[in-house]
Amino acid sequence: MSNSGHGFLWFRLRVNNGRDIRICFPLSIHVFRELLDSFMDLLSLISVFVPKSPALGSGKSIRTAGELIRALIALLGSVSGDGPYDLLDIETEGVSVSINIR
Amino acid sequence: MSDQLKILEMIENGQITAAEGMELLDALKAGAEPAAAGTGANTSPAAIRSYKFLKIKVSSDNKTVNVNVNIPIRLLTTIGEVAGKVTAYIPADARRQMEAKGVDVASIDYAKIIEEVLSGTLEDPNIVDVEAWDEEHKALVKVRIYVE
Repeated sequence: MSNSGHGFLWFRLRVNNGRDIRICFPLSIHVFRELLDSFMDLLSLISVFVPKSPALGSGKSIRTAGELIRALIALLGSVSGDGPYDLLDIETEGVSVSINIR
Repeated sequence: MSDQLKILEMIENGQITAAEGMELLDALKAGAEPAAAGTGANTSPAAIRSYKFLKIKVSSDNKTVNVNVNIPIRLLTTIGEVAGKVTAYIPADARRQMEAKGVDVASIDYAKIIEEVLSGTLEDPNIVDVEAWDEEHKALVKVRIYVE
C-alpha cells in the first residue's frame, strides 16, 4: 500500500444558530484505508463460512459489501494524491461545512 | 525504438506469433503518430493541457449560499470506474422505474463519459456557467462548473 500523498481528511462543522458550535476532527486516510483493508480480509474469512447459493441472500450481501469497500478504498486513494486542497466548502445561513485534504 | 525491439525479441523467443507482433507494432505506430502530431504548431493549447481539478462553485449575490467543491480529476475518473459497478446494486424495482422513464443505468459508460469530457470537448474549460434568480431567497444565484 502506498503511503504517498496527503494523509488527513479534516472535517469542520460550524453551526451558528444562537449558540456557536464548532466541530473539527481529522481522519487519517492511511489509517482509514488500513481499517477497510482489514475489514475486507474479515469479509473474505466470513464468506468462507457463508453458503454460496444465490438463493440465499447473505452471500450476496457480503459480496456487495466487499464491492463497496473496494470502491471506497479506490476513492480514498484518488482523494489523497493531489496535494493539499479543499475538497468541500459549503456556507449557508449559519452553517458551514468543510472537508480539507492536508 | 526500444518498444519495437522488445516486440521483435518476443517474436524471436516465441512468446507471441508474428501476426500478433505485427498488430503490436501497428498499435505502437498508431500511438506514436498522435503524440508526434501534438508537437505541431496547429495543436490547440486546450487539447494538450492537463487539468487537475473539476471545480463546482455556487454563490449568491446576497451571500446566503456559498459552495465550493474541488474534485481532483483522478478522483473523477475513479468515480467513473466505480459508478459502473455500483449501479449493479440498484434495487430491481428502482431500476424498473428508471427504465420506464427511459433511463437504462446499466448501459451508461460513466468512465467513457468522463474521459470524453476531459479529453475531447474541452476547448473551453467552463462546462457550466449559469445565473438564475432564486425566488425563495430573493437572490441571484451563480453556478459555475469548470476544470482547472
